[in-house]
Amino acid sequence: MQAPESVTQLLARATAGDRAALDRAFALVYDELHGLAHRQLRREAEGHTLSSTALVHEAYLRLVQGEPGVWQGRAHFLAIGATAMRRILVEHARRHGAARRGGGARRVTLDTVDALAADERAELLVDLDEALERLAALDERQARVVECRFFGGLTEEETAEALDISPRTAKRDWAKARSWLYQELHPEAV
Amino acid sequence: MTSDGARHPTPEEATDLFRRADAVFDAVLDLEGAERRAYIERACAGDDALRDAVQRLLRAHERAGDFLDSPAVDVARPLLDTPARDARIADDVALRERLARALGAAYRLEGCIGRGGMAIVYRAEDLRHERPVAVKVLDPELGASMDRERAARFLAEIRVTARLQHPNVVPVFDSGAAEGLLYFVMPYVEGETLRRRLRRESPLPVEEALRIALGIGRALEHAHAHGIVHRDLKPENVLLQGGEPVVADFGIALAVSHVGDARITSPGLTLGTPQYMSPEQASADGPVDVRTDVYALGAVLYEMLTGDPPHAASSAHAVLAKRRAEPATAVRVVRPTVPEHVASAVERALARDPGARFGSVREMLDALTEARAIPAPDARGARWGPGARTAALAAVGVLGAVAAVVVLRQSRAERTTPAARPSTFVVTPPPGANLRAPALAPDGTRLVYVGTEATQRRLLVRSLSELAATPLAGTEGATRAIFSPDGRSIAFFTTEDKLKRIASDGGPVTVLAPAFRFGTGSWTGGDRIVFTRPDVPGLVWMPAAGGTSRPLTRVDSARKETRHVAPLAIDGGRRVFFTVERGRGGPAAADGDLAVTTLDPSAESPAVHSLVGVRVQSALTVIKRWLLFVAPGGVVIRAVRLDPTLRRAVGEPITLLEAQDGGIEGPQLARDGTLLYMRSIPRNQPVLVDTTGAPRPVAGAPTGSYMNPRLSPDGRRLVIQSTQSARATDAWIIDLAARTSTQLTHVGNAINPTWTTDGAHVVYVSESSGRSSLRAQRADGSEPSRRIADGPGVFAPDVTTDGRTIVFQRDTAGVIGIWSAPLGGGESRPVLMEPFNLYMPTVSPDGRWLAYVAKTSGRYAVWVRPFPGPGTPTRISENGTEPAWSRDGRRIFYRANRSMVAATLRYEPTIAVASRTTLFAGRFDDDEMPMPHRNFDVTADGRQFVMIASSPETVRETVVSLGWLDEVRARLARLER
Repeated sequence: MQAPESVTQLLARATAGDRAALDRAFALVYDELHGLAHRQLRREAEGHTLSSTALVHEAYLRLVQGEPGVWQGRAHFLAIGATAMRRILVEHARRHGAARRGGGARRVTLDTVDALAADERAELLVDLDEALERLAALDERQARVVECRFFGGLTEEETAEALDISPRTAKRDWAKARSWLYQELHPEAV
Repeated sequence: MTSDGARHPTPEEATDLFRRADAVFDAVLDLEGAERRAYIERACAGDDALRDAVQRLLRAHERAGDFLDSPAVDVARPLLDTPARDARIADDVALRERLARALGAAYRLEGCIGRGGMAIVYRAEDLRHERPVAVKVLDPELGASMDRERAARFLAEIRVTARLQHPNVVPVFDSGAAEGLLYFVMPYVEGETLRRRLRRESPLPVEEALRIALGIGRALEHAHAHGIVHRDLKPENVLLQGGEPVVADFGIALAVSHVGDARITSPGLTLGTPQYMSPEQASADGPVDVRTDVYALGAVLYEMLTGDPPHAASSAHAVLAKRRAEPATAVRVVRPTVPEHVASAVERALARDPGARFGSVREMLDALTEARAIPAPDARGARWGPGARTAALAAVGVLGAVAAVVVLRQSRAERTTPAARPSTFVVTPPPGANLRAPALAPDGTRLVYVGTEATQRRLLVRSLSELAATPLAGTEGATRAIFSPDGRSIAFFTTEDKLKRIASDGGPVTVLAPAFRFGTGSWTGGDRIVFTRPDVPGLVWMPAAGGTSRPLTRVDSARKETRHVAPLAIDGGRRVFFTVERGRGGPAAADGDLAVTTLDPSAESPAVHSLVGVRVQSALTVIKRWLLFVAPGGVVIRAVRLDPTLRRAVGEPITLLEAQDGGIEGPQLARDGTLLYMRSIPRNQPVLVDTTGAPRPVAGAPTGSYMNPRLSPDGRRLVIQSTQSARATDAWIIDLAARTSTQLTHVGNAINPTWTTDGAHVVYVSESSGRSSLRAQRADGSEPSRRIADGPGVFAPDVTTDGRTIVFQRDTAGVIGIWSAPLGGGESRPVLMEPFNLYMPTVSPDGRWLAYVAKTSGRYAVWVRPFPGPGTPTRISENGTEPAWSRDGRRIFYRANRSMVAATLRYEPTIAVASRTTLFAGRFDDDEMPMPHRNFDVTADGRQFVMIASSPETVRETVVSLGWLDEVRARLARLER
């Protein structure tokens, strides 16, 4: 039986341009993050912050457990983690929306404030995901920056590292993408 | 979204525009003011589309605020933080449908209102009682693993918690298992959870944190007195109603643990919540007892005081690991202004070793209140929240359709003879009759009521001279009707939150206005309707013929008013009395301050109102200068004199009518002086059962709810705990031969009555706020009662045959043990203490043996050991509860698996069970779950048993009092003189 590929190996190959390795790395990261996010969110009391960066880092640590020289792949990992987070969160938002619409739950004032807030949040994430797709078609890098900062919860510096761009570019792209997405999602406000 | 032009740009055009706009935007981000404007002018010269795109980006840049500032994971958290995550979220629809099927016709399921660790909560309407409820359904994943036995244990455990009645405890109304789901029903409590409060403001002011902790503590204390440990106390389980905490989910964690033992230990389903979970609970290596709740209360208070739970960390395991490694940061390190004694009480409650914590919640509360003036906790705590009040007051009664007509016809015939005294009839509904919210026509000749078939409700009107009721077409969904003053029209509220109108003999239905579905209203003399709307906290009025509804009153938030309800218009509609609610009100009649205002149809803005100075549930009518009203609590109709302006109450109210039982709901007065009201009485009855199991009612017991029957030593009388009004429980004595009953105690909280050996006294437990005292009262009621002993969790007294000693169970440091006290007075002392709970002690007729129930590894079993001890215990049953000795001491009767069992004993060479016989089986109260009392008794010959036969339905009766107002008028006139 073949030993499962380690994420470090996959990332190394991905960095060297192996698209299949990147996909497999993504699958591993995705599964790990998914599990982590679930396990954590499931048992956490509400109100306790759990940052996606922490999740991504924890997923990373778990995936590369015991391997030497692991931090070489970190930057790449962060970017993959952010993409995975985006997919996980948007999937949730879509399912949430579907369940709400299908459930025929009545919207009642007062008592469903949380549910309504959740609906709005789900809507925001789904809309944002779609807008981000459009942005990616116009400017791939800006979209990736949003993915890292918003979905991956990465800092400016981490984003720069993950995307291999200068911190200044990361900062500018973030500002520009944020404005573009805002006018895209709130056309009435601009 | 952005394409509002005449034609869509091609992708290439769009990309091109984006690129150019992006470049300009990029360049001007670093420029300001005139420089920026100049650059844009230059760059976009002659290209309006480009200029527009750049301007939009710049405006977006300025206005985006905190857009995308919170990471997506925070945005998504409410979506993720649910038990039915990922694929199962899609199963919500199916779950909802299953639950709707499981609930059947009794409830209408509404929206999902929350998700907890292992349950989903829906809002629903309890159609039978017309009240909003919250239905909590266990995560179907748990339900899937249940078999019948586990479901039964779950339900039995829920049933125990359903007995808890305390202002700080959210009661459980109902529970069930169906469609593979386990659910229970609670009142729908408006208000926020402590968790949400803490999210708004954290830490809390010290005073408030303490007040909340004390309220939670009282709830825990009450539950502990009933042998119930919460096990999962956390801010999410504490609801705040007008600031007063009400604790939910008592014992649910334990109930859930019965569902799937194997799953509970799996990592995903650890019971309890790490931050508030005691170390022994987390590691499962110690007994879970009241000190577990002490820990959780300490953790919750710690968080209220410091803003964080004692061991904040980002994962459950980290929390537990952290706690193992180090004590929590001292409260005063985080917040130095917390008083020393509070901080040290919190720290003691959080001790890792249960033995180092407070032994009881009471001790902890005492430590917290030490040397500090706290706003009187009892005064604040004594107020029942709306949810609880809903529990106490069944919403609407049911009048037996046919029976009512007959009675009313008879009584009207009687009225032709001039009777000085009003005739009062109680109409008990025939089985199956379903009639709610009757309204009496002003002339007293007709009745309109809500009839319900299955879940369909509509109005029916019936002339009192005819048997048949006529359904009014188009009134589907009606909840309550009001007659016009001339009796020709009816306005009614509907479940779709509308006020509609119809002629009282039928015809087209007009929608008048939006209105609260369980609204209250008054049709005034000037042909206007004053009523309540769901979206307006004050009263509104509108012409009865239709038109716009306009505000009549405005709630004064400075006076903390939240809602105006129950209007009563008098003086041809010019003057309106109503009830001012403060805090959160439910749909049920609520207590408040009586206020009065004037209705000026030409007024532009809401009228001011003045408080009359009397607490009411609702105003009933005004006769001369006397205002008649239903007093808070809904059991008494009172009258109070008003000053000449009719704005202020003068003097003290006088009592006109005190409901003997069941309260006064929806009273209606007709012009001819007839009073009609509904009352609801939870009901069961004592029955005599022989060994064939056939029950026959004990004659002479009034309608009520009974427990704990005890035959007198001579077998002629029965002393029994009876709840007559859903509010007060007292000991009653039923004379079995004379078939009469007498109320013995009048304390309202007397439980567990039992006879002394000579039959001259009754010993009972008087319980309030978790502390119970044992009292003795002469059976003829001739002397005041006398205190014998008191302490936490004192229950189930039993007098020894020599008449000198009382044995009873008592809570000691969270464990129930057996104590005794001399009947003549003196110190009580422990007889038997084990690390587990012991219940229902009873001493053999020869005084040498003690039978009792022990709860070990979740099972209740009957044991016997020498009395007063020491000695070896002998097990009498594998499982079973409620032991009672036969008079000859040769048998012990007990209940197990819904059966009455007789264990025949032999005493030589050692005590042992020689044989067991099942005497009879049957559905009698508490046959599934042991309560801390024996809920049956056996006759001296051992052949008959007094059992309590359940009746699941609350009895709703209609009380009709003819000419009642005439008598009241006469009485008030006498007072005037």
